[in-house]
Amino acid sequence: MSFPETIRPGALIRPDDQPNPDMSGWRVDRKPAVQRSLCVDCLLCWAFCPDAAVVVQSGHFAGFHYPACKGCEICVATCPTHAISMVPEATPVGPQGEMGGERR
Amino acid sequence: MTSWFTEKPRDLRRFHVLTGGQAVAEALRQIDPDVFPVYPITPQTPIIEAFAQCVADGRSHARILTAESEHSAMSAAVGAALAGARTITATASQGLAYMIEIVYLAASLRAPVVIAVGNRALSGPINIHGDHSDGMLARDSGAVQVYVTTAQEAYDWMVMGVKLAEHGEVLLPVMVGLDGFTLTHSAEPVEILEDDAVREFVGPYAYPYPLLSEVPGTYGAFAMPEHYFEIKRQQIAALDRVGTVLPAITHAFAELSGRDYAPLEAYRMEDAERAMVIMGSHHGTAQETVDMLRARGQKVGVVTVRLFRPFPRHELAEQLRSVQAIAVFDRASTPGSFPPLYLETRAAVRSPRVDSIIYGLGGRDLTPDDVIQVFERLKRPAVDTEPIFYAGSDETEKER
Repeated sequence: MSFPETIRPGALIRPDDQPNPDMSGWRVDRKPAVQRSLCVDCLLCWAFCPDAAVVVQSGHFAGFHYPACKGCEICVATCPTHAISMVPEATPVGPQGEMGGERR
Repeated sequence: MTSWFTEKPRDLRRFHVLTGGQAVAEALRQIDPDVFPVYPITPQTPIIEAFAQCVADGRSHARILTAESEHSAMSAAVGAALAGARTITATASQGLAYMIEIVYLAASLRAPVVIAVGNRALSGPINIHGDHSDGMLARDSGAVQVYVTTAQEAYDWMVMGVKLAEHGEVLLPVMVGLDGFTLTHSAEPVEILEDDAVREFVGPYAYPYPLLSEVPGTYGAFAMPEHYFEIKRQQIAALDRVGTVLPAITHAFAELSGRDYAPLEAYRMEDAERAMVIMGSHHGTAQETVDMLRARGQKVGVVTVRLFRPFPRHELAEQLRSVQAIAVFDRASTPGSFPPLYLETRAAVRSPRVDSIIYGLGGRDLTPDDVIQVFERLKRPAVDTEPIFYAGSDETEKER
């Protein structure tokens, strides 16, 4: 869907009118990861993330949407149990952003 | 009385002696909008008073939102219209001046709000009487602008205005301007249509993207240079489409009422050598004066412009095609340049002689003598005359 051919009257914008841009290039070799056993699902990271990069499913923390994450580390600073930390970009993480091999 | 009155038998029981303000309120009662956000200002107050009485009596379900200012009233109107409520408001003069920021937004957000304007001079000096300076302030807002000539027309255009504003190809605010006091406060016979006929004519509110729906949306987002221009062009195109969709609306209304409206009205223009162009309530004075001069054998005519935005330039050019000398009467001034209707006419026609006349500022009357004086000036060579003539001012006396 290309803009402006699809401008609705009044420039009304609907969800998914445009793809979300990939902001991962803003990160400098560090991405957030979670130590799942420490997470208490308080969702403060979700509340404070300025780019809606924290994924929540059914009221539980469910990982990071890395293309939206700019690496600002606000989630790290916010997490009361220090479950979130920054790891090198190349570090493998699980589908829910959990650090390698860790299970809840 | 205009010709529609005599053309076919009318049911006199449908006639009421109403002021323009009351006629607008009667249209409001029949349209029965959902929301009427408003702030009182002379000479628009009779509209609020009469309509508030209707609501208090349970004859309209409208929610009258008494805002703390016109800026807030118009903001509420835009929000209500986009949320999915049929919304009408009314204002005048300083009120419109205070509202103007949001009138632009209503046009750009494509909020189909109908605004009744009791046209009144802008301060200063402060003055409560009629002229078009308030309407001209909103000239470039993107709103449709209609200037009516009688209380009957004010009623009719409120009904048609709703239909026009909400047309899917338009979705723009419509301003119905009626001259302060001359129309808002003067009583005349007004034919009121059946309630059901009006309700059926306007139909249910049809804004296609209501905020109160299942689909979320962002209204009024920021636009960077790469988008603003196209969005603005889209809005301009919508206003231009009024010229295309209006005939169907006026035709449907004519079937209902017997009154057929066009963007402009030509009177005795068939073989006119000299003509005047005017807007608003002095249309009657102009037509009577033209009759007087025609009786003396002078080939004169008058074109009354009703639809000012979008401006009917092709229709005007057609009417004035073979006219040698034209006087354009503006009831507003553009200090430092020529007034709005004059510039529009100049841009539309190729006549060798177009004079600019400013009249009626701050409620000054325009008499038949003033009009005759202007037609006499059109006989004289243009080089002898000042670029702008102020009819009915002390300057008029000087020339007599």
